[in-house]
Amino acid sequence: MKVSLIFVFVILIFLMGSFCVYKYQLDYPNYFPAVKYDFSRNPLDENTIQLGRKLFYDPILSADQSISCASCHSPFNAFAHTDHSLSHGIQDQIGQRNAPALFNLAWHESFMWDGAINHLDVQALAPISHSKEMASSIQDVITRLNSSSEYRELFFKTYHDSLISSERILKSLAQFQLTLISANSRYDSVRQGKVEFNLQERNGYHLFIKHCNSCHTEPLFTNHQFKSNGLSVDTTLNDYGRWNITKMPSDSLLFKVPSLRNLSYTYPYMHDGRFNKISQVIDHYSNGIDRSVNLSKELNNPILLSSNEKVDLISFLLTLNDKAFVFNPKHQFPKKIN
Amino acid sequence: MKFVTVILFLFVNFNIVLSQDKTKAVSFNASINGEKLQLDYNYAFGDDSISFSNLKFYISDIKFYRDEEFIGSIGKKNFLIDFSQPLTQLILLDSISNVHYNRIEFNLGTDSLDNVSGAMSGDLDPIHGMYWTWQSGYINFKLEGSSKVCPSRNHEFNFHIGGYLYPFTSMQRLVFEVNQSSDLSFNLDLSKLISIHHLQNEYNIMSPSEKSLLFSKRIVDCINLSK
Repeated sequence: MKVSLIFVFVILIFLMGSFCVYKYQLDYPNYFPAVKYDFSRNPLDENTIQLGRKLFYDPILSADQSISCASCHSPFNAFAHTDHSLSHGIQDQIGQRNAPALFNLAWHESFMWDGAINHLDVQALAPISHSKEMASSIQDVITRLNSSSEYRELFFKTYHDSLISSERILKSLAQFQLTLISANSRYDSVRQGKVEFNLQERNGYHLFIKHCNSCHTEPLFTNHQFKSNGLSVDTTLNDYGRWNITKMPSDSLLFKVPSLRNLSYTYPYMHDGRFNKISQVIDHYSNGIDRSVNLSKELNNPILLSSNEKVDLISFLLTLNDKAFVFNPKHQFPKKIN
Repeated sequence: MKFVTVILFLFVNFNIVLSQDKTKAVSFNASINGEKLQLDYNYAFGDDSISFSNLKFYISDIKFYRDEEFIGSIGKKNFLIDFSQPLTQLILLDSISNVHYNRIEFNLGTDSLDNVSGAMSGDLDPIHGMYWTWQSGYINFKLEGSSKVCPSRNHEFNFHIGGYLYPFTSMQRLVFEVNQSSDLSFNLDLSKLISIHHLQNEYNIMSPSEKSLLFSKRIVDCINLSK
């Protein structure tokens, strides 16, 4: 009797051990703050991540099966969309905004430039349904996926039954995106004591702390808040940002502060992609501010920098490029999922 | 002997069935001009006509009280009442049928927690067309149709009433004193709702705003306990 009890105990311990190994752990530095995403409602696991990765790169999500998430969120652009001020979707239609980069999403509490979306799990509903993006619906996506034996098998492998539901689609897409962590830039190597900034970068870092860090707060390089950074209204778009969602006058022209990580990969800049170069952005903060009523108080005084200081600041900003993230094979188009 | 045993067995079982209380239910109906609503049917409306193509709303957090004492709730939190699927108009009260209560409370709409909790299944599954996609949050009440009084394209009207953020929180709590001896049947008086609302002036409300907040309060004024 005793022997069989011990045997059962050993088997249980072994099973618990395998379970722990099976679960996926997010890898990020200890100087990152606590994550905001509630993983208890959608625990990461390798199969679900790989399903989400396949869905992310698959144009099956769009009405005519031409546009995938990656069409506007390319891995080689830190999951942003370059070359176009405004991103384009199905049948070459031009949207209203510049698609934002996707990384470190577990630290975000809202999504989109205006914070229209309050949870990563439901974010994908927006591009799937938008007439200028994928022009489909979650119902139609379920129908298309159900007609694919490959997907029926993948859902079975992931969820242990082949039911393809919106909750499963959305949560698997979220899981893949949660693994997109950018924490291997030169800045990170300096933080980890592996290398040191050169003189120019160090000068740039001090200028950054003085002028930029209150909104683009390190180490994520955003405070995730909504701010008006003095961009004049583009009258061809009349985009009032956060106001579109809250209808509060105090939110007019407020947009979400983007992270400055991977700047070189994510041009053009701003919600409407009006600047193509980092130097244009710095010039905007020096002498291009439109003093609208809701201008962020941090910008009450223009950021005046000499030519040398601008070069130093840009040297520092370039240390935020994370080549290892951009070329991470785990994030690329999945050739085959076994 | 065997025959007598079988008869006795059936008699006892029959009595047990008779002695059990019938499962009570809460039902939701809608009326127009005093008639029970049929979707896609033309009703007289002033000098013109009106038809309704879609009526769906959420009922959530149903609770029962006896005076001030909380008696109980039912196991499920959110119910999508969809008039194109009549079975959804009936909510069975399995766990409440045998207890005494004299007040029922419920929400018209979904609460803020369910609006910020990510992807959901069941009645809250976004496939039901009750989740805004361009922004987060559930449409608590959806009424669509057409009437020539609307100067809109195809004379259509669309009321997508929702919003969980202050100051446009559209979920409304309803409280009714009830007689627990009978089933509870609630009726939404659409004639009253559209006459208060002046369809000719306001035919599209599709985002959280002052207008949607006002509309959500008007719906409450048009729901009555009919039995």
